[in-house]
Amino acid sequence: LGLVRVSDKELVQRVAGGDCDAFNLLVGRWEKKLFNLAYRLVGNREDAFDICQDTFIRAYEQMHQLKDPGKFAQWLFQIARNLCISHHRSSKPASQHLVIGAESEEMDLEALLSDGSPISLDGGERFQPSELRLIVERALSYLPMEQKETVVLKIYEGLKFSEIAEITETPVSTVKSRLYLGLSQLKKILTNTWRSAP
Amino acid sequence: VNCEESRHLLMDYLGNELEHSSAAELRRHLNICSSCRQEFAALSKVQATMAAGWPDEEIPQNLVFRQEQVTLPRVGWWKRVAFTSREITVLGMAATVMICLSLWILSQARMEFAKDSVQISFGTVKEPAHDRPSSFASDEAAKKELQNQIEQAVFKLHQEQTAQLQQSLLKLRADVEANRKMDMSQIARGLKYLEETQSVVWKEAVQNSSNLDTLARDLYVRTSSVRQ
Repeated sequence: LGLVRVSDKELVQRVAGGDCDAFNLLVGRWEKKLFNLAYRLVGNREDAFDICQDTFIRAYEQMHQLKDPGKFAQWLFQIARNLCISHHRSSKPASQHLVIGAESEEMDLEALLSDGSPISLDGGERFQPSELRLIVERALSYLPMEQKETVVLKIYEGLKFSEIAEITETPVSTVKSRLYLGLSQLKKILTNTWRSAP
Repeated sequence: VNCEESRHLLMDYLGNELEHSSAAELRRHLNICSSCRQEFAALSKVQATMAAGWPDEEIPQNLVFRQEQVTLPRVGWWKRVAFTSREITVLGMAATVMICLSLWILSQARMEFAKDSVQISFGTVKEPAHDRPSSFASDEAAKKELQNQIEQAVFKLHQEQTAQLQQSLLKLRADVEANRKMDMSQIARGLKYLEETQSVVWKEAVQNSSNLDTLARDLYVRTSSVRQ
């Protein structure tokens, strides 16, 4: 019970010394977050659970490579994110993305903004939570991986841009652009869903 | 700020990372740019919809790792042998002493070169021994003495082991006897309890049958009186 209040940093140091109980405590703290991160990135519970498990195993094996034990969570997210990308590459062809407008992150922002008729997101409230959940899940699945991971890490995990930049190994400005593009894409997808709904 | 810059500020705002001074700049731009204002409102709504639409869910099964499931962290060989500065100093001094000692030993060595070989020797040269027969005799005696000692030691060890074994057997027998007595007394207690219980059951059965007889008699008497 004394370990419950111990910081991640101290637990990581204990794990490096071979303490399996300390590791299980870290697992208990982060398993839900990691599972949800993986679920939103791969869109499948079973694969997300496997990725979550693999992430912890890899983390345990590579614990000595963690330079700053204070950034354990960030490092864990990075491992999970890399596993999700590997899973994504091995299981899905790139053509499966339904992207409205342009596809790559280099797409013209002005074109994206000026595309189509005026957009209204009003009407989302008429959906039941379960319906809204399906719509959101589907909308997220249409995003390219680099936009999806940025949206997930920012909106759902609440990480700072600098932390996302470290996890995805990209400059902060690119992270912001990806978030902007991701949200813009989502806006179009959601608007179309609203319109086509009965 | 222009529209392009305002988008970055908008992302900062949506990510709760907008500085106070930048917030004022963004507000000024939104006051004069209606398209950015619309965009701002729409993206805020998208973010809120996405966040509310897919809340966190519980992991299907809690993960618990056992030591044998996960391999120990692989530590590089250099990390394993890495020394502190103090250890390095001590090791350096030890190495210096060893090198000096080796050099001194080599300086004491005498090397003789034959046709096909090199012979290295240390210390003074011994003269060939001339008393070999007496040496042989003393060797034989020493050998016999050693053999006797070994035989005696083996005999002693055998005796000690036999004594220990006997002691262990006696102890084991005593333990077994004690356990047997304990078991017997428990069985006796159990039998006694059973007898007592059985006698109580019999008494109750007799009592019950007499009660039944009484009831039957009463019933018969009452029935007869009703008939009359």
